[in-house]
Amino acid sequence: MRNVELHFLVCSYFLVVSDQRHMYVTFTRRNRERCSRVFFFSSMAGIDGEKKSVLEMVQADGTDEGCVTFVLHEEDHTLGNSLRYMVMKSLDVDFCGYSITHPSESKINFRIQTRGGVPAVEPLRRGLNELSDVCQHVLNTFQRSVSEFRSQQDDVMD
Amino acid sequence: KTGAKMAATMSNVDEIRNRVILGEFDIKNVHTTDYPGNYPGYDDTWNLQKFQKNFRIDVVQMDETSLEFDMVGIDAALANAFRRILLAEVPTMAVEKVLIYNNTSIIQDEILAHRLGLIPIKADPRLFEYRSAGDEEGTEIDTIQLQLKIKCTRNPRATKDSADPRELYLNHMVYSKDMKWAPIGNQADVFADANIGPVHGDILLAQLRPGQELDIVMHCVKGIGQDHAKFSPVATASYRLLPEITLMETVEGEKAERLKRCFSPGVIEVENHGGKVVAKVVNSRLDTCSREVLRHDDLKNAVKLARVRDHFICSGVTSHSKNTDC
Repeated sequence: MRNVELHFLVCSYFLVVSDQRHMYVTFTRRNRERCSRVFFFSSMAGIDGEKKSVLEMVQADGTDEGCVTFVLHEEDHTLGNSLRYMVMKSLDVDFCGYSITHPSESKINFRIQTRGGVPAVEPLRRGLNELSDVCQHVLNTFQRSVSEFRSQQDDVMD
Repeated sequence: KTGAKMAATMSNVDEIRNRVILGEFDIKNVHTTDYPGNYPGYDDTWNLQKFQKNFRIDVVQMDETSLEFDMVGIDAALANAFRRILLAEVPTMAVEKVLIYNNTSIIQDEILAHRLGLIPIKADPRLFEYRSAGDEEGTEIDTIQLQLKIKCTRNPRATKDSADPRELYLNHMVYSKDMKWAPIGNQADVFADANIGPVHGDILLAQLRPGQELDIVMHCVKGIGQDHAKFSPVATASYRLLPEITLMETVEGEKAERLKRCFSPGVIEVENHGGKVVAKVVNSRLDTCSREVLRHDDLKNAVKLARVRDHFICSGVTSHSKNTDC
């Protein structure tokens, strides 16, 4: 069992996993995927909260760390498509795609295949950070434009 | 980008990267292809500085209920994510629990409760918390209490033989302005100047006749559109790509007039150049891209219809009367 620590940024409206939370790894078996190693990353919600996993990693046997499918719970096209775009824009990603397993279940399978032996977690983490930066910049630009428009309107009315 | 371009068109590669071409039977270059490695000679890796330099937002029109602005330099995936978030993940306050103490009108309880839930409530959701799961009563930090108590009576002052319900009865139409705010806890002090209640007072809820009455208490909570559409802050949020119309050859005379009629009004103007009338693209933003011009055999080769891939004209209409940034 390997201990891997992931840090996620808080971006409002996206993954609601706050950073620096301690995560623990449990073993379970998934018949569908025929994998030997499945990692569950759960967040401990409060003192006695139930453990709801936000992100799972599924890796097929025999491949390196570069080809991983992440299962993101409680997500849909809103995060899937925008994250796919950000991850595709990075140089060491060979393949990136997402799919919604079934419209009644709110989870997405997000697959990243890297080249050059880079672990797939790297582009994912970078993509999330960059997405959060983009959204912050868009928000700032929007607020600036709105206040400029408002002051323009006030000038016209005076 | 809205001017007429009769000069040389851009190179093929640029066109595939930047324009969505509207053809007669299909639409070409729909998907984003500028990922690193696709085009030799182009560096398409994500660069925040390059994005920040090219990105801009221009607010075109803004008033109490609607907003139209342009986002230039962003990809469709992100623009769509913003649109989805506006519709489904921006919280508002709406009626969730309806406690019906007396309802003798002909509107059934559940129908009336459904109608009450859909009424937009004027309250800033940022000042409230979400209700914790399993909490039935609600506290002052997460609930707004509204009351609707109305009884229909016969109008004693009506003339003997009038048939107009407006004269015969008092309170026979129940409007949303009859919903009154009942502050709980310290809400009366905290929200003293923000008059909490329905945004519009003229929404008809029910009709009554003498002897029928409604005695209802409503609890409003904070929620998001994903849970129920009543929590969606926008009536709708949509975007479209900026159209671009390029004239490939000079169009003059009677053909120019026909060309003008193929587009939405204001897109193509006909000008007089030395005795001949010539068509000129004035404002392609107004076009609705109906591709009508491609139905005319003699005009379809004169025009190239395209959309600019990273220029989004976004518009949103809200029913909640606050147009702050979402």
